[in-house]
Amino acid sequence: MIASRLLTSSVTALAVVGAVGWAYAQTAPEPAAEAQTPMTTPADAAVTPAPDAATSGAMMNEPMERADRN
Amino acid sequence: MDGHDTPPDASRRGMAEDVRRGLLAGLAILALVIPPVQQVLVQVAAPVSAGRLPDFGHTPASVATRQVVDWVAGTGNHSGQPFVVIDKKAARLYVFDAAARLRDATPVLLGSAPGDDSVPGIGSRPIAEVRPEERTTPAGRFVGMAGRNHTGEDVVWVDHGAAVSMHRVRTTQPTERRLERLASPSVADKRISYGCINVPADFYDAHIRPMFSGRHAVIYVLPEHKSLQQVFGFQARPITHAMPS
Repeated sequence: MIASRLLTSSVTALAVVGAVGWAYAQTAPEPAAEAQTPMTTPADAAVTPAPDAATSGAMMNEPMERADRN
Repeated sequence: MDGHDTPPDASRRGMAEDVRRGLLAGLAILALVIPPVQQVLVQVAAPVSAGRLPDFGHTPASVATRQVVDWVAGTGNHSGQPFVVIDKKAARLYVFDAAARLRDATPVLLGSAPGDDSVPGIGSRPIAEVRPEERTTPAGRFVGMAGRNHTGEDVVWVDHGAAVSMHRVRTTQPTERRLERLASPSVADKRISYGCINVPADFYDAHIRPMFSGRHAVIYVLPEHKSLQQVFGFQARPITHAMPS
């Protein structure tokens, strides 16, 4: 009897935590993604397809030598 | 029903009581686990509010330049690295440190044709085939990187695909009078290249070359026709902090 009552309470608690937690996860903003929003560039903007500016020297590959526009 | 069975009403009441306890326990757990709403908002706003006001010192700069640097400093768009801003309308280049403090500024030579875009495929065409109206310096946010051009000269690639680089001023064509143009107060005189950004040699060696040595850094080239919103994707705010006269 006691086990049954404990089980009922536990299942109820779990359901509440699960439901509210899921709803919270759906609605709460993702801090990292939100913070990056201003960094997005519109489709027509000219942006070099290059690694992030913080790339360390060890990870850099020097671009191919080519003629420039003087 | 024998004497040991619980009556149905009592059983239902007992179950309701169990459910109520479960609900309270669930809510108590949630109160402990989920952070307060205000804390979440502060976390979301932090990257923007943590930004610094840019510091131009006593160096004059256009409103657009200040708006872009405000945005860069406020959003951390420069990834915490030193960065370069080129104001095409003023033909000036500004070098900032990672904290958005102006280190130095200089006049520069730019593409002779007005415009904010590069013609598709221009980077793979011989320079002699670049028509006058195609000699633009493109606007945008570029991740600059050190490299070499086909002659082995060290340059900073602004848009490698479009063959746009930043380099020491070239004087190989005396008729172009590039040094005189750099010294001239006229902005129109600064439009002479095929799209590259020509920097005074001493400035290049003092600031540009060290800045891109072993790392990438962002170069913001301001538009001359398009809006800042179109090019950088942000709504420019009015400048509220002090500007030197």
